[in-house]
Amino acid sequence: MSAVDVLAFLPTATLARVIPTAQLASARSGRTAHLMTGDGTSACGRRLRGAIRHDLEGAEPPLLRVCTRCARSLPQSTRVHLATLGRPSAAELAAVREAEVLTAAAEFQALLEHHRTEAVMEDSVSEPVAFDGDPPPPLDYNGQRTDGVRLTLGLMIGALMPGAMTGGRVWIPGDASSPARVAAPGGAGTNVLSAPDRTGRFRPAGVASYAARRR
Amino acid sequence: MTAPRPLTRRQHALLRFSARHGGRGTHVTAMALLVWEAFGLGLLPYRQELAAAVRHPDAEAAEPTEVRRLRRLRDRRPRRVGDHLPETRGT
Repeated sequence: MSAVDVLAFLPTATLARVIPTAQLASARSGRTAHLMTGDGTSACGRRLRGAIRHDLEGAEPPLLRVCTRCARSLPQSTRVHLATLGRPSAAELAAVREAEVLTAAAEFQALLEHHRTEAVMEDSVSEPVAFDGDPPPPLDYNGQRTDGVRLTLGLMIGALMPGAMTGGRVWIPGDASSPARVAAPGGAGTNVLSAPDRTGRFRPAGVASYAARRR
Repeated sequence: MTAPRPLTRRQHALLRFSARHGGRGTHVTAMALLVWEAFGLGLLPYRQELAAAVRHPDAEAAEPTEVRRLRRLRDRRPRRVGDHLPETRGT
């Protein structure tokens, strides 16, 4: 018995694989797909505002999870199949998780941006702040305590902004199969053209290291 | 013809920030840090966003003195080659 409740996070792609004829719909701004019954209502009983129908046959299933209540209303045999042989694959789970994580990050970014804008309006953006992770003031080479950089409200918001540490590199447009997502030769987040190599030419880091190994 | 979008809160914040820190002789390095702190932008994109905010029809109602000062500066600046209208270019 698995400790993971499959029905609590069921990708629509899994349901499309197990029941290709399932009728799914989601609300216009909804984050879950609902199982539709024959009379046009959702299996969980929720009313969907501006419902959008998802055609599972032929088309790519949407990157949504199935509503938990709808999933629990599936027939017993289907639920057992979903929990055993027809369980969601890691790729199916990851695709939905990725979409949800990116949505959450975008929302968080907008919320932080809103707070920063309001702080500018209130003239409190340069006020010093302190939080648990604030490091002690650094020492210079003679052991004297130096000023360091004063952490302000605006700088703290900037540091908490999603993508701040990676230079915004997580925001790659397109889907997972897009060639833009192929990992850079120097590794994730490496700017491969940032510096010339020993011969003074700009080349990907992987190529340079390969050449160095052959020498 | 569609009605122009109202001035956003961010554009208003840009104008207010400029009213507080612009035209005071703040050193460019200090200004860059202030802009980064307030908007997460470098100086060039900040100036571009500010210029767009100044062009907005509602800008003068939001920050009258600052917008008039920035428009005065903009109008005083000599035109560059690319700024000419197409029909007058090269004449």
